[in-house]
Amino acid sequence: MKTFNIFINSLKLFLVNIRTYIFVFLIAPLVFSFMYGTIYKNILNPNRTIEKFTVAYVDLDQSRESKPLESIFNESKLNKIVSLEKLSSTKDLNDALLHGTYTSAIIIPKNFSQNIETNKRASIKVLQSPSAGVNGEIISDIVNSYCSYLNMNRSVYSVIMTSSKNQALTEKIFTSMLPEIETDLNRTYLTYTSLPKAKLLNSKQLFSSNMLIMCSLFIVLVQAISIIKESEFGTLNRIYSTATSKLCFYFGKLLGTFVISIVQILCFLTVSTLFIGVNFGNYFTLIPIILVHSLIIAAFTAVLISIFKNTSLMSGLFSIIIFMMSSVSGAFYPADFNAGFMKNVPHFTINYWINNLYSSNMFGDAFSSMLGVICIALVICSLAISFGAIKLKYEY
Amino acid sequence: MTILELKNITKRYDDNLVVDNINFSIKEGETFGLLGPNGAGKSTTISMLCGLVKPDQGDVIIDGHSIIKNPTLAKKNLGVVPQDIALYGSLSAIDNLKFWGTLYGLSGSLLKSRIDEALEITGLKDRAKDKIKNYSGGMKRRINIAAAFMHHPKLLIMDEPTVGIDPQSRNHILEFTKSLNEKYGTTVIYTSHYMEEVETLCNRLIILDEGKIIAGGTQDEIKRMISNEENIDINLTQYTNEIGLKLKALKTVSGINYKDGLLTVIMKASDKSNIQDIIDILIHNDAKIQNLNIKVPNLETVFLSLTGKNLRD
Repeated sequence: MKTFNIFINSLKLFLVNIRTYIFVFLIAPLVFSFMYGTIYKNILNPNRTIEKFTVAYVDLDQSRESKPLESIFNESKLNKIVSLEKLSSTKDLNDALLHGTYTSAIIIPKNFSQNIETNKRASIKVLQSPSAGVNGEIISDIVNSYCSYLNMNRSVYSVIMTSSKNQALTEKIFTSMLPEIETDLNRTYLTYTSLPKAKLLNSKQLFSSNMLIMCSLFIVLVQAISIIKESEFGTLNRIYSTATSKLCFYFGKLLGTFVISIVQILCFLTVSTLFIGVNFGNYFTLIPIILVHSLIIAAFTAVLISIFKNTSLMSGLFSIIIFMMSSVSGAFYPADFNAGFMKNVPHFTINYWINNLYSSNMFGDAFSSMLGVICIALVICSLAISFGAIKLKYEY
Repeated sequence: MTILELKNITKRYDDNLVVDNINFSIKEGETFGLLGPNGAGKSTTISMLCGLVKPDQGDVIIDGHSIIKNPTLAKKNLGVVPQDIALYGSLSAIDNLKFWGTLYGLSGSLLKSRIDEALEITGLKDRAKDKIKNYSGGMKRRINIAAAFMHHPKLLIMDEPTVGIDPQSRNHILEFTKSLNEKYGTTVIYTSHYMEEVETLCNRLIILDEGKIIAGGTQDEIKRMISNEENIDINLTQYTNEIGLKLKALKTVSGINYKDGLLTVIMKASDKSNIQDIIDILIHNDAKIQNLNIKVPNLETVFLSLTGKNLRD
């Protein structure tokens, strides 16, 4: 009963600043989700398509070996996205690329076939306009594959030529291989497979869930400050001087944090669904995710109040930690933009694991696939809350 | 019947002995004074009485229950008025009283009637819904006391309940404290820096200094301890350390204290003739005497005599 009274009191104390909290925990994250969602709309749009783009093609060699590449680009399906414009020289090509007239330019050098015949590496130059992006990568990949094929053949010939002692046999091999290679070069190896639609979140989904998690971490801070201030204001000693146990106080406050967190999450999910059209996925599977999320917030609060006795040190330090965790895990820019070792850093943040649950739900994954993360979260939260309780109980 | 018993209570913080083997007991219905200069160990003793600090040695028995072994039962009949205002400033008086009442185990109609009673006693019924932070210092003090008395405890500890308030609120609190005995039979432990409050309210008292009880008993018993001493208050225009040293050198002077132009000299009552020696020393050292007053012993002088300090130092 006393735990319940402390819980009710905790809610009353939270409600004193309700206007500020509505702004901080509801309106601000909503505005930021909308803002970032709009900024990254085109980059992160899962339904985005590639517009047809023009590629300059300069074949200075005009040989049997260079022609097949042109055929590849003129293949009917590739031709839907790539428009090949043949040029006779490289004159003014750089300017055209800079102005975006062409996405890329393929330049086959004059000595291309000669290099192959004399056992040198075959190479084709690909120039890209500054805005080429993924389109430029497509062109580079195709040209690169073509060169690799030719260079591999060249290596095989070279090995046969240098290793074989029997000239008659060598001639026989080449006589039977060359028509095959000839045919091979003029045959398309491009195959088209319809893949299932990629699992991608739209920008608003991505930023909404990240903003929600960041704000809920600030609830940890608000509640931890409120609990530690009880000690600074003397109300904590007064509570302990009544026939109320320390654990009643502890669990009453954590229950308050848990409920406040649930309400904040529910309100945010509702307003972001209604006002900026975010789809958070299946409502039924969302319920356990919200509960686990709130439990994590309560457990985190328990850890903070067990460690810190000073609000100013805690709020300064923890605010920086929240911003850093939120930043690397994608609250302000897509986490996929992280490069190198930074790609793995989000895995060490709470944000990442909570977001993992929301993302799975938004992808429409089966609940069973989230059970692993949920169970680990439950175990860690129980340990954290127990640690706080034991520390408090034996602290006179 | 004994309501509170302290048995060999000792408390150290690191190497510092704050409370040194204190023993005393309080009977039901008494108003008991706990005096001592700053750092005497009063707050630590009170914290141990409330179960906030665990004694290194000894035990506190409240209404037959050990605060260490059975804190819940021991605290059931205990009310504590902390020295600082320990209320939720952002909540109303009624919300505060409701909260503290529920923590003292009150509920339903009893809780409601006790809230009404508390507001009646404090005279704040009209402002019951105002936030505490908007109250004056005196109003906050009154609610601070009322919150501790909601469950009508057998023992009420009041730790300097009149600090920093206007005379009107102070009188209100003193009247209320007096009525606790008469109306409810509540036992009160009262600490204050205002000696006149202790003289008015308390039947018995102890004086603590450096963690030890240096005097204890009724007011008369304590005053008798120094009946062979008198205090002379002298208002001076100038005071030097040399004067202090010369006065202390006199055989009949057992202590001196100087603060804000007032020199208090404690001397043996039988040697009044030596007043002339004191005056000579002052005149010889160019200290102009503005006023001289020989005081009969009261708690203030007893305190000064025993601890060598003023209570408000």
